[in-house]
Amino acid sequence: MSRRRPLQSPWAYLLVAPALVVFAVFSIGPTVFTGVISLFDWNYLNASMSTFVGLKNYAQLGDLERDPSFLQTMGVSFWFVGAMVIGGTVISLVLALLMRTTTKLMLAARATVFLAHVTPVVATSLVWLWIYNPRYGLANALLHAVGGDPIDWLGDRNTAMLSVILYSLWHEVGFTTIVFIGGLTTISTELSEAARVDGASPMREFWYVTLPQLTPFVVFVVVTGSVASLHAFTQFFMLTGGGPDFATATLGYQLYQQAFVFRKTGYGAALAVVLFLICLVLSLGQLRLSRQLNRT
Amino acid sequence: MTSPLTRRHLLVGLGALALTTPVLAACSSPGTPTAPPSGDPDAKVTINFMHAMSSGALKPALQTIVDAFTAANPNITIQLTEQPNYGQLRAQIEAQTAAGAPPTIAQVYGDWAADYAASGVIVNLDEYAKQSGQWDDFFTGVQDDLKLTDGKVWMWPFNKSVMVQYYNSELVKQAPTTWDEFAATAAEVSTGKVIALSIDPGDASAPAGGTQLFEALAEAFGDGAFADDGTPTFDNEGSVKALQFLVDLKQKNALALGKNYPGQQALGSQTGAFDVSSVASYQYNLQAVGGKFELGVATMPKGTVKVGNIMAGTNVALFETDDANVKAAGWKFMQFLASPEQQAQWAVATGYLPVHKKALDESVFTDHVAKTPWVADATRQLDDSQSLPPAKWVQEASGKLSTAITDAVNGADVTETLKKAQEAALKVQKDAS
Repeated sequence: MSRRRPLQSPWAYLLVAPALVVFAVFSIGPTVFTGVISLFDWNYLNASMSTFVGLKNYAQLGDLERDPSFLQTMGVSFWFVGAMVIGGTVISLVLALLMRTTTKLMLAARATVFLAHVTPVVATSLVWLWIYNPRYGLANALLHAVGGDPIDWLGDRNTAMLSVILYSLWHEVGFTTIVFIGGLTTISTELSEAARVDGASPMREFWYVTLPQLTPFVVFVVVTGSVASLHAFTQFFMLTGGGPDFATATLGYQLYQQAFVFRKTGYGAALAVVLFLICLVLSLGQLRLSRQLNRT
Repeated sequence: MTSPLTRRHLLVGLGALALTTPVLAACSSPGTPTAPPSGDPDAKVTINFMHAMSSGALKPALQTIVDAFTAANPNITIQLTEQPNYGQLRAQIEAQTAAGAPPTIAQVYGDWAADYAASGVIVNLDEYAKQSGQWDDFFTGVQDDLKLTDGKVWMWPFNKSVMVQYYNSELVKQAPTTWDEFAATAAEVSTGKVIALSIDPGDASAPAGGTQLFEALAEAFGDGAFADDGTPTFDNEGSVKALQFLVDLKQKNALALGKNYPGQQALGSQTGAFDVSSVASYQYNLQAVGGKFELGVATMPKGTVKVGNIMAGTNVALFETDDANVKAAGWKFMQFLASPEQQAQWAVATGYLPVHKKALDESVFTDHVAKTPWVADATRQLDDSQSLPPAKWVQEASGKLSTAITDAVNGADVTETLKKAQEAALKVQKDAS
């Protein structure tokens, strides 16, 4: 008797149908519909007044005179993603190494770091809004204490993105630190001991023994961090509103602004499609890397 | 032989479904002037009023109006749909309208109404206005505010306000009457922890009170920041003088930028001397001051050309529906909202200004004016104050001003900054047109 392939039986479709319907209605359908909208000059109030414009919305992505241009938006996005991924990974690794022991103090430290991650972004953004307040905020009070001039942290285009990154790192490293601490508990202690017996310095031991064993965790943190940073929205909405002068308008935030603030639904949908494709490539890359790492 | 359902089949099916949606969507004709329907006076009707009057004294004051209306019109039930702020209000109106179930009436700003009128989802009120008997008694500025750039009436007035200057009467003995006096007083009181004026220009997507102040200054010093048809004029003389005025204040350490009503914060914490904002902020400013000093209120100072003032607040729009009874009931309630009795009560309770001239003669309002004389002066400014042109690009174009204000106050060249903002705003207008 030959083995039938899955999904050749009508029963298979029947059994997966409920899940498929939910997925189709809430994920696949809207995704396809967004792709369709991106081909229209879409009237969000009266769909019958929408006009088909083909790839015009995508062509506008190349318009450098647009304010902000797609290129500028991508630059802002990569600046944020790069800082979050590189900064977040390095800080998390350092914190994980410092907190890998299970003393009471270190367990309390882990809880403290993780606590920031579980707080709501809206609520903590409001707190940081006050920290960054140019007249009454803690940040400028500290600066004043060391003789510095006050800074308009969120209003100055030179410091706005840095301020959002600082907040985002504070909020996010708790999770990635716990991932790395988990990773450190799974790696072989024998190899590290052998390296130390052979006279390796702590730095060399980390670089040549510990880090290679943590590679799957680093890949996970980098890929999920990239996708999450590309999607980041709330802190930009709360802290800067994408300003000043679009200096903090990432791709995810621009999508919202164009579609729901400036009511350019078709262009916003084109941005959403681009964001979807970037995330798709990153996710496929992660899958491929994970498979390779599993094989080796 | 049956072929199994493949991923390609599924995607093609979904794609086809999505592509046909706009074609299948219900058709509607753009609003053309029609006479108001009389409706059946005996029919039981429920209408929905979507609003954002959700905080402080606003909510109970609106409920009082609704109660008075339903007492006089027992066949009409008003269903209030409250939203926490104007952003949510707009999103909710549009989500419901897109789904084919708009509210009967809703609070709207002019630029929203421009979009709604172009999409054929609100009722043209030209004929309604002619037959209403209220039109001639509205302040001139209010009448202008009810029209779109096509010159037609699309809205009916409700909660209007103008800008005034709030001041710490211990620091400022007499309210300045000209912007020159304002600058001199601001420089004089800005010592120690006090910075006379704090403003929030907002950002590129959401211009705030600081940008509105700039627009009022541009009116006071010249021709304003926008032409009547909504064309940006950020590089004209009035705009340049307005921005230079703010930059000069900053150089005298008399101006600070902030977020979330910084003028109110500074006034309340006694680190500011002025807050230039809407009359509707009166109760909030009183609360911020908390009796620490006497809060002074005065009308806007005069510029080299005139007293520039920007009218704020919303109007009410009537959404298209095939049900004549619902339409008639909605229109009846809109007129009730704008009636002298209700406007007088509303103004006293909330701090908004009455849109109907006869409301000034209502005893409740005259008593109110006797206690707060500045209200009478502010109300008179409804005749001369300008509202931003109701064009759909105006909000986004104003965002370019927000950026220009922030940049110039932080040291950029005034003329160059405004030139850049003008170019960006013209592009926004071109794209929107």
